Amino acid sequence: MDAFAQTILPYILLYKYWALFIVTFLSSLAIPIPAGTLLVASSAFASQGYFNIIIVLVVVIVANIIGDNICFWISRLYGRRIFERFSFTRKVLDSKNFRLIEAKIKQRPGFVIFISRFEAIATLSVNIVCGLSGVSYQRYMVFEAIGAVGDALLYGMVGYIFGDSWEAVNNLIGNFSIIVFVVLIGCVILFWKRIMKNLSTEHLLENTK
Amino acid sequence: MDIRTALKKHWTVIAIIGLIFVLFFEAQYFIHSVEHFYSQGELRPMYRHRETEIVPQASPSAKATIATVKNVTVTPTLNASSIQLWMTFDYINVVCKLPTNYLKDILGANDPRYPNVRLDTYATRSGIDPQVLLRTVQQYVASYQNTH
Repeated sequence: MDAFAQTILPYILLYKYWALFIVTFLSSLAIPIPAGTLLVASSAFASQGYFNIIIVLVVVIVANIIGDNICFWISRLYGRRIFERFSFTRKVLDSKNFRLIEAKIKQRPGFVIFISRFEAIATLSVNIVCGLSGVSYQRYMVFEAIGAVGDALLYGMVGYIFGDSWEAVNNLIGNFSIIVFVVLIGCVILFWKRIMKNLSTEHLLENTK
Repeated sequence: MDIRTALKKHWTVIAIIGLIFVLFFEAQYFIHSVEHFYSQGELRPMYRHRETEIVPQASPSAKATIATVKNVTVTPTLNASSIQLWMTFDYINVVCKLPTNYLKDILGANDPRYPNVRLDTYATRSGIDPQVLLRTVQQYVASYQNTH
């Protein structure tokens, strides 16, 4: 278990569901806290009888939803103003690629929102883009909630099933997911031009105007 | 065609082959890790243990009676050797199936926060070497688990 998780874990034991809520909430704001590890640990503690697994899952889901909604609404209400203040972010906002991605997400946000719930940086990025691009809040909320439930269930069930072996399983998942993530990034870089070409249609550009 | 031109022309294919190799070796490492943890007994689904849980607050004699009737063995979910300094007394009591004041009485702990205090924090406040406290707690817990 990494040192940071080991620093936070005792507070989960001391302050229980409140600590879990705060940690998960901060993690959903993309503060680098290993919320996945802590959820696996909390679920393991639940399997050992220290927590109630239902309450653990509900707390994590609610914290994630609240955090994601805050990101979304800050992006929706103030995002453009903030991004346009800095030249680098203004360039990103005005770039053709960003407009294409924005248009694509606005057209079909469901899958992107759902799948991004499983990775912290992707969650933040998609929340910001959804807020900027004007994705309907109802659609965002539906897929965001489904993704939050899926994410909580995935990590929660791993910890609950394996109980006091959770550290070993968590290490395995961590090792594997880093490499899968690197390979995915590699594929995106390799096929970036093709992805942009597929996105680049007159129909999508018309929708952004 | 020289090597540089060939590399420029076919870099996508080379990169994809490289990624496949990375995935292949990572899968090998993952499988090896799973086998290693399984052989060490560190990958044990808890459902095998959970079906043996009974009411933790029952007295030792009541537990023994119920266990005899149900032909079930009471099994704590945490071994004494797995106890670590970052754990709290409350957590140790629950998962090792100890009476609430067992460690408090046996250690003579008069920390007002007991059992919601970490072992290392208690050691610091009491002026005890943390490793000595850890070994002591592990011994007492093991002793209790062997006799109950």
